[in-house]
Amino acid sequence: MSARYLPVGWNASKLVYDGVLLAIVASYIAVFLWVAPHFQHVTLPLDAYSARMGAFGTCAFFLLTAILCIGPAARLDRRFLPLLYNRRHFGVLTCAVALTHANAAFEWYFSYSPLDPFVALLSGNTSFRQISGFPFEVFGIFGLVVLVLLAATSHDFWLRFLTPPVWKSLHMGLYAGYLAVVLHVALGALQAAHNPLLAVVMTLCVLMVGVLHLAAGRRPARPGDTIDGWIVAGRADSIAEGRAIAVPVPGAEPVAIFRHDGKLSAVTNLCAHQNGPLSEGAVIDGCITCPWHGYQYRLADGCAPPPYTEKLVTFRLKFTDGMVLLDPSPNPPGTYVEPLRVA
Amino acid sequence: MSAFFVGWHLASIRPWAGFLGMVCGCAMVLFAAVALALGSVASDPGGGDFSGEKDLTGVVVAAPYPLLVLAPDAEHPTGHAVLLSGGGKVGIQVQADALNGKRVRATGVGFKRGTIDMMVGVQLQPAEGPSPEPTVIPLGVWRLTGEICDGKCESGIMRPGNGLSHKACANVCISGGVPPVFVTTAPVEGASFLLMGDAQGRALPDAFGDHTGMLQRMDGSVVRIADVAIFRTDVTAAVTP
Repeated sequence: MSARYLPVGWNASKLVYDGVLLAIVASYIAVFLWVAPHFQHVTLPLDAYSARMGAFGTCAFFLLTAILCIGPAARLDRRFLPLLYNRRHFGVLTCAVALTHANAAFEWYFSYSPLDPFVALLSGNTSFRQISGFPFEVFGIFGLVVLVLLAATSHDFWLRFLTPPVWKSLHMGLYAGYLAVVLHVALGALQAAHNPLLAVVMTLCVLMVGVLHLAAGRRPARPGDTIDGWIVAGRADSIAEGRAIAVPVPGAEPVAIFRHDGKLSAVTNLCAHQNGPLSEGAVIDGCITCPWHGYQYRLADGCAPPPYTEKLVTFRLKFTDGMVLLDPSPNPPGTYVEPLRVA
Repeated sequence: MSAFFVGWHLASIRPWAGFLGMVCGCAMVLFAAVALALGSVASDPGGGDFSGEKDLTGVVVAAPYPLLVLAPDAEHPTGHAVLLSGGGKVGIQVQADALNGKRVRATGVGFKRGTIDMMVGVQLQPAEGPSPEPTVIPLGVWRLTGEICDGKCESGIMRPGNGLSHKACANVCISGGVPPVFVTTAPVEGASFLLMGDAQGRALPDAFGDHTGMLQRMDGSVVRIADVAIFRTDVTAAVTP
């Protein structure tokens, strides 16, 4: 939660998270550059720049794949949620790995000529009308721009400045970046490869991202019936103590209905921080707690406890014939609504 | 209440610690295994390599790209030709044009791959002595399949110095005046690396860029100067086989 901005709000979870990430990246690069060459069947080894391009380029692609898999994996199995917690650091590290790949290519292929290196980069290959030989560099540049943009705006300052919906829309650009990276590899390294292994691994990665998203996308429940404009949310006993259900609202974001101390409260399903799914959170210390970053809100009015200032939209609830009904008209953020006591 | 992770509360991770430890361990092993697999199946970049500092004397041939033709010796009974290039991705066409047909002393750094002998970072100085005009031997008309590369990277400055990944670099090099070579899929009169020129024996036209870095089939005549084969072709008529 935020009352002021820090470069990084370190805690033990983030330190462990970043330590594991760095260890994975370091082992990948070390094995690729210093162990694997002993098993190559080549006349002479690759030059240092080309080897670095391969190591950091493939590593960035796999990291990006992992980032895109974490979200749906956490939706399908809550035990993956801790991997989602510090995903922004994951993204920044991926950006740094991708920049190292790009820097090696830029220095090796486009420097040392009479042309400005950026001019050489953009004019070196202009065969846009053919597939074989297509300037795959443009997809790499686009992917890199996306990664840098997302890394640069990953801090909470930008989240607040841009507002969560805009920030989240911007960061959905990662999918476009991933597509560009896939095309970059497919039209570049894969065309030059004499061994199909990279193509096989890459195809598996893309399939994994697609299948996980499809599987996670099938989970939302169907919209309920309505009675006099109120949405039937279900029976109160269908909500576990300290937990919530997400109630679909036609044409709007779902609403999270929490049960705590035998009372029900309804707030928007979108966390005010990064629009995380609050219905997948829990009540801790009497507060709704977001599963993504632990942002907390009071049940009755949707306000973060002082000194924090975030507020959620709240909703009215009522009982009819043992069923919980939800008024889909949202109250202004922070509006107090008396929790509905379960009979 | 079942387990619920809160990032800022490390103790909340305990119920899932075993699962997460297994995931992290598997990820580390998987990443290392993939790195080992991908890193060990690198395509063979060939045997081009540094061949030492060079200080040679011979006759300059400026077209289609700068060559230094050395006098015959026991190893090269028809003479030996060395491709010349500047430092970085630039040629030495201006220097070579000024000294075309003359005897020079050339200093630079050597790279060699197969029949390509390349000097880079070349400085030419006029030298005393005979400057016989190199003999051009026609080897007939050929239809060849191969890849247009820049002679500098292909000869071992870069490994690999060919293929589509290297296409833009090859274009930048050749545009800068580095001699292009045609690497054939089958030898032509014993040569798999042929210096390239246009059909009239001049430098390639600007339109070569669509044809570099990938297999191309093209028709043209082959001539030999000393021990270097030169493929004279209309590169714009090249087709993908």
